[in-house]
Amino acid sequence: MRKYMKIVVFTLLTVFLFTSVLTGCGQKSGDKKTESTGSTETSGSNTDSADQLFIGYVCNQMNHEWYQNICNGAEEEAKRLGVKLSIADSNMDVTTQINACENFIAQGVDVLVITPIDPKAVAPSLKKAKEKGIHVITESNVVEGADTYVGISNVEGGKKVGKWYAEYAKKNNISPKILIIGLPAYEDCRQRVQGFKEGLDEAGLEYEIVQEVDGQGDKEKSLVAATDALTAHKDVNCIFGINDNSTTGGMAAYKAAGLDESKLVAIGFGFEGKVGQEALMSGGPYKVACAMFPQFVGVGLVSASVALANGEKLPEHYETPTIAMTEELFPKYYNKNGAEYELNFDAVRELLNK
Amino acid sequence: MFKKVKSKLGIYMQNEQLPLLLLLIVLCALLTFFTPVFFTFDNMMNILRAASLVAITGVGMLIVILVGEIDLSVGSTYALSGVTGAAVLSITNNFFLALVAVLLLGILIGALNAFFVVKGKVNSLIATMGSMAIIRGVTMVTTQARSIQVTLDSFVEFGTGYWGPFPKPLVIAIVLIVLVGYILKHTSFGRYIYAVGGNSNAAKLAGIAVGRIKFIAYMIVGVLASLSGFISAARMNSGQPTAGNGFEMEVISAVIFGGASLNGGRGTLLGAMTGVLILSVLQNGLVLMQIDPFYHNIVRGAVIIFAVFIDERRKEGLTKKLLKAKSQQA
Repeated sequence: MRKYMKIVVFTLLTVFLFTSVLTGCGQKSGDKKTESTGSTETSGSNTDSADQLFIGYVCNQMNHEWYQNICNGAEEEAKRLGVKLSIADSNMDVTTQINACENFIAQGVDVLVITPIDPKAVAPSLKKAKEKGIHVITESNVVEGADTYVGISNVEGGKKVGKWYAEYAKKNNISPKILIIGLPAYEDCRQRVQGFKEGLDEAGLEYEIVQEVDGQGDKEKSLVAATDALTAHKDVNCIFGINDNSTTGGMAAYKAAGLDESKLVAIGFGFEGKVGQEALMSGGPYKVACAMFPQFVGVGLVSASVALANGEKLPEHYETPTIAMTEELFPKYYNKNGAEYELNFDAVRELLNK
Repeated sequence: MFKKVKSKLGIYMQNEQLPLLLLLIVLCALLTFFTPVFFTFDNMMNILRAASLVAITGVGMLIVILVGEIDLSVGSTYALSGVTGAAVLSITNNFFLALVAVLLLGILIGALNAFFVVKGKVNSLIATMGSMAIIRGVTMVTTQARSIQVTLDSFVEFGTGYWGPFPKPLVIAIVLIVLVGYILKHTSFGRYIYAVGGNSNAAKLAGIAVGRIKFIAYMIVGVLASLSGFISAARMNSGQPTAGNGFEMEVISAVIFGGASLNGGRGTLLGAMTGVLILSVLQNGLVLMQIDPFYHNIVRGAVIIFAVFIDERRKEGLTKKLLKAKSQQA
């Protein structure tokens, strides 16, 4: 027994040490902590009052950087407008999500905001909320019966980078051989690819899509799939990925295959965090990304909630802005703060007003 | 003459790996026929490089399965090791230190798993399912689900570089396979592993320290999963907290596919590695043939079931033959 105890004590101490080292590294000062389970609350005033607008947001997966940024944006806007915002995480579990909806309904929220994991599964809960006079807003997916859907247009975003690439290819006399790293299981991601192709077509570019692979939105899986595809198609000179991980995974495969990176144009989608930002600013093959400004989706969720509560009628799709982000445009939208880039909210607001 | 050939064939057919090796050869021949690019040196190296990560952890998983246990935490260990390596590198810029830290982490995770299984007598499926969740959680909490980028050349070189014409991860995998193959076949420790898995009570009565063998088995799989995670992070130039999702199933299915028994005591390294290779060739071939990604899982699952089905029928036939021969002798 003593022999095992020694091992356990030693193990626990070392794991603690590793965790501390990692925490010190992963947690930058000023980072906001997000909870992966349970809920977080933000309130615009020190005391909750009965007439203060109460928004409940049921997120689908708060351990994803994209949703962390949405939550950060929503919390900032809630503070600015003086409304109470409570966020619950579903951890990609439909039952947890339905329970969270029921909890918010029981708490008497004024607006229920949700990023549905499965639109069909949450439809009955949303119907119940509507029956109780609660406004319902969805993010990412359209759910029947909701007051509005807040989010970007994936097709439009895809078109923007497609058109940008068409101009770039024409200017540089490139004969495009494109590898697409997609995630065909998701409608949003299929729409991104569809928009990209439509953008190329609308700009009148002649191109060849040599292969479409499934990178599952993950850098490692994109790297493996792209490595296989590049073996068969060494003439690829453009990689379009449905998110930053897919694109950078494809770039890593291109580099590992010993191909000439100066001939490659890598196109990303999302541009939600450091991965895309650093790739764009490194001056390498990552030339453009459809920036979706997740913080602004968060802002949109709160401002749409306030508008609904004030009796305004909102369109079916409350669209938040996207642009084809390039190295030249980047400083306009992001300010460098130490090692981090901070979003310039005013610059994005301008896009919304356009 | 015909009889002689038949009896020789019979001996080969008794070899456990033969059906799998035949399947691998048929698969390669078919893919070469359909996509000429398949049978090129570059593509072979791609397949072997991708397979080497599964193979490295697979070597350890085989040992754990041979002693009659299982480890579901290898995918999470893979991710935590990748981000730990990347974190240590971004702080110290010292490749050696990062590698040592990662290997140490793997040994510790293995020891912890072993403690709960051996000393705590918790079913290994449950114990490692728990540690799988805890380790993934620690990875997410410490990184806040963000990847850790590394710019050190020697690190990237470790995952993408070559020793001669061979990718480094492949050479590492081959060295490990040869080493563990030797240990399993020619050392008393190797025989103890089979004995513990075959009949743990008999092994105990024979004076084998069953607990200690299981402890070592878990530490081996832990350290090898960590090594795979570190190599994978080097390939991606970053520690990805979501890496290795489903990796445990990839490894376990390859080892089981290779003929190892989940009850322990039965299985060979050659079989497990053939399993790893078949699944990697299949994955590569499906992409090269531009098969719709939705069909990949269906084909993969069908091939696994088909191969195991054929293998079981073959073993059944062999057992019947053996019993018949015995009854005739009697």
